Order: sequence, then structure tokens, then C-alpha cells
Amino acid sequence: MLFLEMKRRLCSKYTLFSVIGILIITVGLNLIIVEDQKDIAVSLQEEAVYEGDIKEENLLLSLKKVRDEKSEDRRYTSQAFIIGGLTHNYPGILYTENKIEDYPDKYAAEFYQCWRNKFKVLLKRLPTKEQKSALTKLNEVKIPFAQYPGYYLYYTALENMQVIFIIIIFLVTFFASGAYSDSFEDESMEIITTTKAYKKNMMIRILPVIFYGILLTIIAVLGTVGMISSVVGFKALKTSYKMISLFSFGNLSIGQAIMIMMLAEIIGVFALSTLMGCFSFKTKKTTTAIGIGVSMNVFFMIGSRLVPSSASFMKYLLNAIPMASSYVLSSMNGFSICFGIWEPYAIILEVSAVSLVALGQLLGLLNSGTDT
Amino acid sequence: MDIFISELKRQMNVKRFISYILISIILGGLWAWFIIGGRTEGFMMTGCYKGLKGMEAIEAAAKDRNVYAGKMTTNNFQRGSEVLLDSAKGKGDESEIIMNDELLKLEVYADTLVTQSFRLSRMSGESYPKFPWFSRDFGSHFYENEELYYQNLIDTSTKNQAEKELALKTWNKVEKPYTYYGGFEVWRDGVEHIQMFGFVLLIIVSFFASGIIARDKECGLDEIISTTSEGRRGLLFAKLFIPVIMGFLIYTAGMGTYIAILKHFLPANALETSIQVCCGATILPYNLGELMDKMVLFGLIGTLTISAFTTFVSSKVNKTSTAMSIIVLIIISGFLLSMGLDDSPILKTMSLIMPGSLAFSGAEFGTVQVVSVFGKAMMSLKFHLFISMLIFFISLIMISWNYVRR
Repeated sequence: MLFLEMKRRLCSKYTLFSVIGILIITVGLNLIIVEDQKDIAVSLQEEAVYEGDIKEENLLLSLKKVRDEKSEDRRYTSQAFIIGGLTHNYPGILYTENKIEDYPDKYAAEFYQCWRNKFKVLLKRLPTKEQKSALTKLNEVKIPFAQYPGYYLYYTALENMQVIFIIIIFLVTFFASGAYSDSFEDESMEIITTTKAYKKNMMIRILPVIFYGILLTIIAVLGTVGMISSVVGFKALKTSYKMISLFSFGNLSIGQAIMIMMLAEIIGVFALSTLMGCFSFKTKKTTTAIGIGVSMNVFFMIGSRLVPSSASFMKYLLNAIPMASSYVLSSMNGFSICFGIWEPYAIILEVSAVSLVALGQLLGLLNSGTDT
Repeated sequence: MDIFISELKRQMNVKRFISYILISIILGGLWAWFIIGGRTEGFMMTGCYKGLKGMEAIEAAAKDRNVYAGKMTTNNFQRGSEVLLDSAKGKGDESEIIMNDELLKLEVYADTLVTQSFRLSRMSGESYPKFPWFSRDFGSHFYENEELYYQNLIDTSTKNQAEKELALKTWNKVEKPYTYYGGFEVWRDGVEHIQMFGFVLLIIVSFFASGIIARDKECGLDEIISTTSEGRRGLLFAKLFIPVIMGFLIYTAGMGTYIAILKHFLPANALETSIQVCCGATILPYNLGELMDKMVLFGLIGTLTISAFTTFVSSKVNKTSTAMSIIVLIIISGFLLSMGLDDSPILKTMSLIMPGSLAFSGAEFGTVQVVSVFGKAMMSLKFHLFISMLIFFISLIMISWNYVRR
């Protein structure tokens, strides 16, 4: 029965077009990144000299080479670029030098200490009650960080992946909106209600939607990682996520960060499909269900731009909307704290809570039958 | 004409019409309340106007700042820089600004000067200015420095001679000295939100228009219409223009409420502020009021474009829900593309040709946005407007073709 249901929903033009669409977007966006890097092979070789853990003595050596001897060797400039992260992230705070010629030796020789100092200053922006747990989080961060050649391509690649995830959430919204209401609209529901396997039949209806969401997510992730890795190799995935966003918590590597994004997206898809199932069953009209779903998503997109990061109640409300799961990257780049945990984990937690509630609601609706 | 009226009555029955218009009016009201009610004022983390919120804060701040309002002369700038440096105590990172009455009045000048010193240091690649951001006589050279900064900005962001000439010509039209009146900060927020609100209105309009033809097909009405003596041809005019009219109504009702509330509460003369003072670096010779009119107009044209385009999609597909999905995806991609305005030329072109993206063209009012089309330099705004109009008319032609031919 599950197989038949899968076949009914998934073997359709809609699925085909959306899979092809996501594939084209993924490949297209990553082509833009990869095309820019024609002569990257040479610089990758050079960068490989200092791959692995970032050592302060190497940083100091590179800083001296670049700053004093004006060396343009990629092996040195790439290291100097890491030091630059101290000033270029959140510019104007604590470290104000703009050009490499002005960097003092301290930035390289005591890189990790400098990083910690600046992070502590930044943490003072958080509301007072969160600062303490933020400091513990900061102390849990393990040093040294690691870097492997070519990791910087993931800056744009991850951002692109976030855009694709947003589109996937919308596609899932549209796909899920018809789960029950289509049958109400063509009145086949009247027939299905009389069959023996009615309840079971109805319950497995959200499974194809979830499967569809997961399929699209996997395509986006594999496409991105595959295309970037074909240029810089899989090693770059082992780079610390700190190299993407220097002032963030956790001990993630880029690979793990991608896994978290993917996990969050899948949970988001799960929550969204159960929630949309409820709307679809309740409203009995596909267009209304789409209307509600799209308004919910748009509410998040607008709300997350307007609400300042510290406003408490609205923030919790917004993070509970399934759409939040595709914005995990933005909160992974920052250091805000919700419920005493780092925001990306808080989002995952909240969205999974929502998905459980929605699932309970849906089961309740199905049990009470269609005549409610 | 009869058939037009009866179709109009059918599509906009009282309940539906009122609910669409009411939703947009309520949203407009909420949005304006959000802008005005949530407003707090301050200056460089000094905590002046602490405890004031909403209209109280706006009025208190505007009263102080209006003392030196009007033309921003060099003398006032010079005074601003002196007062700011005098009121700063301490050295290095531990310095803080002690607020005094004079500084409260000269706040806008001081703020503009600090921004300028940051811009100049970024331009020349020096380190970010540390605490006493500038020397005492910095204020007296304000307009010279401004000229220097914009010349450099134009040089770095244009690609060829024609573009550069156009940009310089536009920049020279900017009225100097600048003007400001107290209360422009909250107006600026209000103007920036026009495109956010426009995005929501766009989605509402597309929900209305997506059913215009597809719903007839769903319930079989389409077949019946085609057998009448006039056929579909008689209904074409109604199908073409009802979504456009409704889009116009929804947009004017929503945006009208929003702007009307802002105009009612906020100081009117603040709209004469030059946008160089309040909206970041830009070469366009407008004041805030003109900028607002332009954004509203662009939002309206974007809305009309999307309603025509939605009707076109509706005439192509067989189900309302499909039309809705397609249009929402297009609006979202337009929104995402123009919000994260990337440097990649492919993405930039795509954001220009997305139907309805004209409503999100706010970013094009910033910095130096010039494009070359067939070797001719053009303000990116005008080009965008042209493309949007083109999409509008092509959609209308395609609808007629699709609808009558079948």
C-alpha cells in the first residue's frame, strides 16, 4: 500500500520538474563559484604546505613574510588571510587595523588569545542573563583550529545551499498542501472513507511528502559538496567551521556543519509536512492550504529580518516555524543563545517539538474521521 | 461592457473583495504601528532618550535636532566636530561621550562626520579610525571630503567611460549643501520597509489573480463559456483587466493606509532631507520624499506586472493551486535575488528579469548602480523599469493569444 501511495504521488510531473529544477539551481549556483577558480590548482598546492592545525608560529612566519618582505606566495598569503579574520569580522571592534601592513606581531603570535579577547568583547552585546552561558560555551571551544586547502569556496557554497533550502521548503509546502484536500476536492474521499483501510491509508499519505523533501535536500547537499569537492577535494570538509565564521560556538568542522544544516532541513520538512497535512485536512481546499502555508513561511522570512536578535518572545515564536530550519546557517554564523543553548540547536529543538505536536494533531484529526 | 461588469461582479463578490482589501489595510496599519511604535532614539550608545519609546522618542529627538535643521552648512559641521570632540572624555578604547545640550542639538552633524571618517578610511585602506575619529577642523572640509569620496566611489564602481560620465552627471545634480529636518530617521525606516510590505502585498495579489482563468477550467465553466455566442473572446477584456484593477486596488489600499498613517504622525518637513544624509552612499539627486514616491510607484508597477503575469500563468495551467505555486516561487526567487544582491553578473541579470522584482528594487537606489545596455550607459533603475513594462505588455498579449485561441 505504501508503495502504491508513493507511486501515485511521486510519479508525477510536479516531482520530476522540481527535482530537475533543484538540480539545475544547485549546479548553476555552484558553477558560478567553480568557474571563477580557473587557476586554483597551483594555489591549492601552495596552501597545502600549512594544512592541518593552524599553528601560531606558522602564522607569525607568514605575517612577517607578507608584511615585511611583501611576499606574494600563496602559502603565506593564505595564512595571513586567517589573521585578517580578526579585524575583518565585526570591523572596528577591538582590532581596527584595515591593512596587513599595520598588523602587529601579536595578532599572529597570540592568535588564539586575540580571538578569545575579541569574542569576549562581542559577547557583551548579548542580554546579561545569557552572557554567562555564552562564556561557558566559549570556553568549550577547542583550539587549535584546522584548515585544509580551498575551504574558502564553502563561504558562498553554504550560502547558496541556504537559498536552495528555502526554495525546497516552499516546494514541500506546495506538495503537502494537496495531501488530503485533493481527495476532498475530487470527492474520492467519500469512496475512501468507506474502505476498510481508510485510517491506515490516510496516515501514510504524508510519507511521500516527507520522502520528497528529503530527496530534494539530498540532491542539493550532494550536488553542492560534489561540485566543490571536485575542485578542492574532500579534505576541505575537515576544516574547522571557525574558518567560515570565526566568532561562533561549537567544535564543528565544515562537513559536520553541513550535516547539521541537512538534519535541520529534514526535521523542518517533517514538521512542515505534518503541519500542512493538518491544514489540508481541516480546510479541505488546496488553495486555502497553500495560502496558509505560504503566509506562515513569509511571516518567518519578514519577521526574521525585522525582529532584533534579542527580542525574546517573538524570537521563540519565529524559531518554532518550520521555515526557521532552513535558516540554520545564519544562526550558526552568530553567537546568540536561546534557552541556554546555541541558537541552531535551539531551532532544531523547537521545530522538532512543533513537528511532534503537529503529528499528534494530525492523528487526532484522522481518528475523529471526516465528518467533523 | 455588460459582460465586463457581470464578470467583475462574479470575481469580486462582496465577501471576497472586502476580505482582500481588509487584509491589506490591516497589514498596512500594523506595519505603520510597528515602525512608529517600536521606535527608540539614541546616539552612539550614550543612552540619551532612554526610556522613551514610539512617538515620544521621535518628538523629543526631533525637537533637539531641529535647532540646527535646514541647510547643513560647513560652519555647522565645524561646530559639530568641535562639540563632539569636546564632549568626549578619556582616552583610547575606554573613552566615552558625555552627552550635553549642545551635542544633542548637533547630533546629526556629528553622526554624519563620524560616518564620513569611516568611509574615507575604508576608501584609502587605512585602519579604522580609533577614538578621536578626526581632527578638530575635519568639519570645515566636509563637502571637499564628500566630493573626494564620491569621485572615488564612482571610479571604482563603473566599468567604462560612458557609465562614469553618467554617474558623474547624476552626482553633480545632487544639491549641496545637504538639507535635513528632525525626524528623518524614522521616515527612513518607513521608506525602507516599503519594499518589505510590497513583497507581502505582491503575494496577496498573486493569490487573487491565480484563479482568474484556471478556476473556470477546474469547474468546467470554461467549456460552457466557449459554446456561448460571444465565446471566450467576449470575456477576454474582463479577464485581462480584472486582476490588474484588483492588484491596483489592493496595493493602493494597503500601501495607502501605511503611508497615510506615517504622514499623519511623522513630521512632514523631514521628507525634505537629502538621501545622502540618511540613506547611505548614493549618487541619486533626490530628497527623502521623492525617494518615497519613487519606491511606492515602483512597487505599484511591480504589482501590476505580477498581476498580469499571474493571469498569464493562470491561462496556461489547469489548476489554481499550480498557478499559485509557480507565482509564489517566482516572487520568492525575485525577492531572494534582489535582497542578496550579488556581484555575479548572471544573478544580477536574473534579478532584473524576474517579473515583479521591480517592487524590491530598493537596493538599486543605493551606491552607484549603472548598467551598460548595448554599449549605452543607463541608470539601472530605468532599465529595470523598462523590462518590467515589457513583461507587463508581453503578458497581456500572451494571455489574449492563449485564451482566445483554444
